[in-house]
Amino acid sequence: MNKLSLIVAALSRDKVRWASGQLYYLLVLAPLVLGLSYLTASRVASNAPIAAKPSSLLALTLTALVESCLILSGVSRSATEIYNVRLAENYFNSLPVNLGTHLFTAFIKRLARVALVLGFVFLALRSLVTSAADLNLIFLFWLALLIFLTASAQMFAALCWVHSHRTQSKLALLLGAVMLLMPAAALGGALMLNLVSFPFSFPHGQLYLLAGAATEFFALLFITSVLHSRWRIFDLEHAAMLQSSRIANFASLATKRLWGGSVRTQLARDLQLTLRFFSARVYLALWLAALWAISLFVLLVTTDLLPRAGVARSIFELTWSPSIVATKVVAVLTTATLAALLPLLVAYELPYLWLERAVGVTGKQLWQAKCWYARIVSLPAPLIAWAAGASTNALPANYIVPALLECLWLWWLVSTLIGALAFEMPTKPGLALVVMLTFAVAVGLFVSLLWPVGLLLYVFGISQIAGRGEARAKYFLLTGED
Amino acid sequence: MSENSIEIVEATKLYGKLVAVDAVSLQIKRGEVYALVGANGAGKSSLMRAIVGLAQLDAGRISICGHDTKKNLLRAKRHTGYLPEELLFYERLTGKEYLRLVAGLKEADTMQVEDEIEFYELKTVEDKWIGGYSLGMRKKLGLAAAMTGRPQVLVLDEPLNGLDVEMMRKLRGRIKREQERGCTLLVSSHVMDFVERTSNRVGIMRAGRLVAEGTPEELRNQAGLSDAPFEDVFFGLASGKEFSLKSDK
Repeated sequence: MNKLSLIVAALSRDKVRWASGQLYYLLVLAPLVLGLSYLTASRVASNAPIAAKPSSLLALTLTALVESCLILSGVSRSATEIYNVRLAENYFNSLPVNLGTHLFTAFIKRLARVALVLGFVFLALRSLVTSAADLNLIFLFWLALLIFLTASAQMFAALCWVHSHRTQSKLALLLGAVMLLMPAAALGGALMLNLVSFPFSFPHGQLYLLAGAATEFFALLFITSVLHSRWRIFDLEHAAMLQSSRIANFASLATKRLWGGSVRTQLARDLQLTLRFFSARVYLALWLAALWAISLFVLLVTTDLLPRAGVARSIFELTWSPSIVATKVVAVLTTATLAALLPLLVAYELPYLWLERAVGVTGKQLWQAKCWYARIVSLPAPLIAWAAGASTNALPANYIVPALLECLWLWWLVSTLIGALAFEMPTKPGLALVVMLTFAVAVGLFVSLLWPVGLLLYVFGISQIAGRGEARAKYFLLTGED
Repeated sequence: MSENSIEIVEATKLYGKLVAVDAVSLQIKRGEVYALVGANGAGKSSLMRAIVGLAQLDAGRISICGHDTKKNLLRAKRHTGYLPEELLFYERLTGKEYLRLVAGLKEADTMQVEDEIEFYELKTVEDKWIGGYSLGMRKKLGLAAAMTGRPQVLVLDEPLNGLDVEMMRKLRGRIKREQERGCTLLVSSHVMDFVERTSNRVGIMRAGRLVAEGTPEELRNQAGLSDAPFEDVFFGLASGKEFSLKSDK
């Protein structure tokens, strides 16, 4: 316990000192961006027509899906926290520090990160849904339970993920992991519903939920602790060597013919890194992208909320029909979701940028590589959205091709905007993600409604945006600072 | 208790199909300085990482002060101080804070931190963030962390990288003093002059195997190079054939 408190105190001191150097971003920019997002969301929520209340089962399924995404999103980071081979804590592996201390250090870090995200999201959601941000103790208790459950599930999933690269019995491991994580996702989903004032209709619902979530949390924590003590020493090295070479080689070959010189080399490296180091985030992004497309499909197939466009109408009328606009909106959201891998990649590459500096890569080449990266990783997005729309007959036969072109145009615009912002705040990937997504999605949604205006904006604005992107990349190359 | 502080029996470490350490056996007596030399990738760091419990052997066993690292790793670690080749620190802790943290984790007397700061000439930067330290300062901090708690076994992986000549000389004296108090040292280095002057025995590794072992004098005789620089002795034994600057010309 004493050693745990020593490590946690050192970690906290390190983080507090980091925060003291980021006051502008933490006290001005982040509240500004988050506040504006919140105000916009609350405005939309207050003006939105009251939709039919979904059934408990449907709501639970959706929130369980969100919780499973949340669990997946923390797997990669959680693995680096548990197997701290690239962190300062790695030295403590050679000191007389017991395994439980290593695990609980990682657990405390995980709790802090999950609490930060879920705390903000659910405080905002609660005030949006209930129109009153009443912070009573019961609400905070349920929130804490959700945070503990999510953090422990992420840690368990991370242990299994790393171990799966070493074990022969992958199937058994996968089955075991799924058997424990599925209830965690379901219970997490139920806790989410509970937090946004969606009480269960069956008697004693909350009591059962409390018992279930607490049991699942303690079970996950206990099993994680046992598995960690068995696997740690063997998996420590595998955690550092997780790589995927075959797909990465394909990525390298694919880029060889398309771009020349430095941009091509950088792009190949970026795609290799994406496949090798961000696998959990790539899965998450793909999952979310699929979720957008599935939502569109379900919306078009199961409801009449979006009236179908008639075949006889002209092309200019069709472009503003609800089902086609919905398809375009999904194209924008899917593109933004996939292109959101860019700020994570840039932050990961920062310590290694000395190479670009040493070999004389220009700001333009650096920026172009990142811009093309955003475009390539998000390329499936317009196709997925278009396919989802087309497969439901929401797109009239005479608008199949124009719809595809519109989706491709939106992909190009959104991915280019995200790529252009790659070096706006490279050392703060979380904040960069919020800024990039807010900006690109806002422009994308506007253009999905008014594409002729979007074309004009693009023609006149893109050179300035590109110029700014190049200048930021050049500045960053020269100074190494944000 | 055995008179050997470090006992390694048939230690084998694999990375996939690559054999990093190939059935290495060696015993290092209490108070002995043992130098491991070899080309990059010869397996020195892998062996050292296995000794301090950062890597798991695929075969064989290691014991530190009589404690088997597989069965009693925590006890073995209590006797060990380690300087890793790659130094990772909390960039926003000061040097003094970091050493106090290490002392706390080793359950050592924190008063020793002041002595180490004094010895490694870190007094002027002790209250500055480690993020602003030069390579040499980081190395000195790593050495201070390894020696905090006066461990019975010191495993130093490339301790000279980044140190100036004066500090190298000072470190040689420190190693002598640690040896005199009964500490066992396992050191890897590419500086052959340092190796020859500091160590009681030298082990030469090549492709994961221990290809030659003995006192510096014995190795000289083995290579048949009694007057040549120790570097030539190393080349001769490591490559399996005689090599000298003269023959190179």
